[in-house]
Amino acid sequence: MQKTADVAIIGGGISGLSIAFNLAQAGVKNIVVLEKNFLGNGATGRCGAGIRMQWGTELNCLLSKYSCEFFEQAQELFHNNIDIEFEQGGYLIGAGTDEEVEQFKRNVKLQNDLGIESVFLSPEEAGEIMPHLDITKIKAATFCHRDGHLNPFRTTEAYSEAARSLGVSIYEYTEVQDILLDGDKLKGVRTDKGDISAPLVVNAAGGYSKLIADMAGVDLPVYSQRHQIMVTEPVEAMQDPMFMGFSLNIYIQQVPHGSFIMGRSDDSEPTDLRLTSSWQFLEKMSETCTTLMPRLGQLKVVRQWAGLYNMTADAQPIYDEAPELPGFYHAAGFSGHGFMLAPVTGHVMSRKIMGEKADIDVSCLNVSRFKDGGLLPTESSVV
Amino acid sequence: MKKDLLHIKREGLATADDLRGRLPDESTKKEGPYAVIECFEEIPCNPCVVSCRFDAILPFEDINDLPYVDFSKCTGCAVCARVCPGLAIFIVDESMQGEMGTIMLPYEYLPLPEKGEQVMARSRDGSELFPATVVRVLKGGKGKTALVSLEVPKESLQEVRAFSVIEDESPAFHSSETYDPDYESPVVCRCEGVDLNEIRDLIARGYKSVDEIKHRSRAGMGPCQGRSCRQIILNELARDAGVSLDEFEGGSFRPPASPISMDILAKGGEEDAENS
Amino acid sequence: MISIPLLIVGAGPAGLCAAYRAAEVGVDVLILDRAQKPGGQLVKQTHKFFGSEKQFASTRGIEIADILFKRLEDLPGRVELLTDATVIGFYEDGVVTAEVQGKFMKYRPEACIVATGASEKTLAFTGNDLPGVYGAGAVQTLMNEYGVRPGNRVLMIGAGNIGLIVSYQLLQAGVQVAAILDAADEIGGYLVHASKIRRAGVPILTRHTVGLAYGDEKVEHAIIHALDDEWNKIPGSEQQLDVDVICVAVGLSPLADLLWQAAVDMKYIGALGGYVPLRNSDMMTSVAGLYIAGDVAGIEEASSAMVEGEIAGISAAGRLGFSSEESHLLKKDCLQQLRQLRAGPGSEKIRTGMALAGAYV
Repeated sequence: MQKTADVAIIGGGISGLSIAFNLAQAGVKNIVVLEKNFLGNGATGRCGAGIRMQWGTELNCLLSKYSCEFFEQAQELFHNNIDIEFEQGGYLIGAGTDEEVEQFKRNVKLQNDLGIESVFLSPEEAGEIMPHLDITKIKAATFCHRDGHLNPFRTTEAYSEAARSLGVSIYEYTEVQDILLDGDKLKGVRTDKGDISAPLVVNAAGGYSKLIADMAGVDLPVYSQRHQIMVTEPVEAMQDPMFMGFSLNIYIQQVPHGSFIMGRSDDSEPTDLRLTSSWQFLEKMSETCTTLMPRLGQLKVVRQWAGLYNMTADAQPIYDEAPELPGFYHAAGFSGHGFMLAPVTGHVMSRKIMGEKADIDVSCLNVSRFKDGGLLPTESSVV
Repeated sequence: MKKDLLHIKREGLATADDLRGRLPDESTKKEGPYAVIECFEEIPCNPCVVSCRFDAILPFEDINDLPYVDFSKCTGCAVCARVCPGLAIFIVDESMQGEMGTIMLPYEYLPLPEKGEQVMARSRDGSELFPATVVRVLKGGKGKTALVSLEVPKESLQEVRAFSVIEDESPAFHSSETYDPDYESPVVCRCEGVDLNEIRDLIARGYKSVDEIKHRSRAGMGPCQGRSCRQIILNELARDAGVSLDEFEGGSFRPPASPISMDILAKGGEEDAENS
Repeated sequence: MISIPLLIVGAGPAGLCAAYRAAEVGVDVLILDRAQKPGGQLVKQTHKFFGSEKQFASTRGIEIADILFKRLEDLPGRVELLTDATVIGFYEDGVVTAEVQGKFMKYRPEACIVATGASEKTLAFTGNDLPGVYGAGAVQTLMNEYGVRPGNRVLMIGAGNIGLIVSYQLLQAGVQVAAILDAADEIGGYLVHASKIRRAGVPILTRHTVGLAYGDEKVEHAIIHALDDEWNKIPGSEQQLDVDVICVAVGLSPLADLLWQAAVDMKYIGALGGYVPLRNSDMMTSVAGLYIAGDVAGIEEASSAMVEGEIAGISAAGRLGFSSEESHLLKKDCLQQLRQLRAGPGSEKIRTGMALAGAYV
């Protein structure tokens, strides 16, 4: 393994790969990505891989719009032939409460003002888009036809191949064990395969980003919570859009393969990095799903698994250089949306590392906001 | 494995060597029926020795011992032949006057022949020898194997080991047609329709584990969760890396172990209420 | 949620023997089995068993299933057997989930014995997805449970005991067997089985395998070929057979999905059929209170599965505080039986494998 690097990126998930790709594209040489397992083995390969622009805050709308537009042109941008299976079947978001109906109206106004072509729908109109939805269970809905979902494994491969072809070195099965300091200055990283000196280190370790920050002795106010998913046997295509409900507590999509993938949130999920599954999830998820979409009840669940949401107090990411340790960067705390934000993560982090101005001002996503009382308005459009 | 077993392990056929020591001497042969035990492999099995009322099978020290007949005690009563799970015991009688003797063969096919019926005597490899007459039939049942006695020329008693009732045309081994084979890539994962070339291609591109290959190809993501494909993928990985299989992780196994419908899962809570 | 003292997963020879030994000393036992009737693979086994009287030697498998099941009545402990009951999940909170006759059930057992048996290995050859390619288990189920012939002329792949026994059963059912192939250089199954097959005129070709199956939407022909010492095809050795069934009997793997879920320590031991759980001489895995018995603990014969089941049953009962004066002696005797069953020269690989797995040999 090489002994030096200009930038060492910790984490071979979609975020780390996107940062590597963007840096390499901007001309940075000698970039290494260090992954303790195989690429995409963390939250990247475990997530629902949905892409949506329908958010409740301006910043999230802008960030996700950047990403969506990136994925629309990914084939040309990556210069490879890997089909990332970006299916733009839209997102249909159901409102379960009167408060949500009002919120959704405001969201659509905000989204439209930012150039996101979402529409507000009655339950009947939503039923036309998704005939198997029991429309008596929703009070209204919004829909954006450009939203969609990706194949996370192929997307990971597309990013890694593109990064490699630009000269990025990717080391799988290489675990970072320590951050090397020279006094209070950053020196590099120690891995189980040897040390790498690097003046710049990026913490893109997802669910494990706090462990990495601890190694560097810097504060990263995030925690990781288990989230579970299950998948059914495949059937004929019957649902184009991803369906999502916040108070209804569900997201569910039919992937091109034909199976339905779905997940939900649960405050009682553990926060100790475990990746086990629970039987309670199977029950509750099935109950939620069959209540909203009774026809899907006949489908058999073939597998369940779990991944980690890396959470912040305001459910928004942290894009920042550690104030205590110049050269050490955080791209963390994605709160369940790291996959869809990956393109913009790569863009803003690469610009920040190179000291250049990004297309979107993300200075408010600094790490100090949690101390200064500068929390952002909490995004309500999350599952 | 004893060296002299090699031939029989390849062919499934006893040789003259194997049979040496399994037959009585000429004078004992004339005294009455006796058992020929064609059991050449040490396996854990002892019904013959346990069943013999005359202690005519040399006692076992270990259940894996081979049975040897003490011909001075064997009466040819056939109790051992009726319990032998391997159908490896034959009762030969060449004590009578004249050219003909009898051989009693264990028989587990239907229909059972009748006394007086003509059947085709066959050798150890199933080849036809000659027509023979059934002289006795002991029906099976209650754990006992049916035995059929054939009248056979004395010189053929150690050759006949089977017979067939219906003279089936012996199945032709080779096909009549000719065909120019097109060796398409075999299926590895039936659930997801992933073939061997795809697996080999991913391995060639650097995919190093069952889980990586599963993510990228879907092999193992189906309802059976890799019960059939996982082993083949492990074999391919090990072969490519030139290391033994135990160097690899088995990959993840996730619940549910077999598919279950959401309707049933969703009612799980109600079951709890009933049972509490 | 139902709390129970002892859950046994699988009502095959191992599970039924475990239940007997546990209930004998007063443990209430719940057995779950995914099939419609108890017995596991025994219900398809029309041949007589080897072994000794203690393992029902000379009795046919189907009859053993009945014996093992019937002796569970009127024991000090109550034995409940639920069929059509598939265990699907082992979770970290100790809960075992199952689909039982159309309901999602959750059990919290104090001890559990996993006796799930094995699954069949498959073979990658061209045309292996054509109708007419069967696993040996399916052929046995069709013929011996349902009385249906799989076809008229069979090519058997694998000369282990299963390949030999199923070939014999096919012949008994009036189905022709064109040949038995095995890639190994010798017959893996018992020679007495092989000799029975040879007497019926069926060739056994060692160092041979199937390369291709073809036909009009179903198996009609097979092309087989010889293998060299490196397992490569010998050019020019191809032979074509007319068959409508290819039966694959290339070995079994422990069906250990539930044990993986339960996060027990596993090890790949080729001699035992693949990944097997590590265990102690009580048949307990690395997870306290979780026991194993039978093929899931390593592929062997039904005789050793029954003895392992007895050991697991005695041990689990002991853990739950149930034992008799004889329990200790009984376990010792079982261990001795296992030692004997594995003492032969043909069991050398099993002995090596079991030593690696941590079992008493």
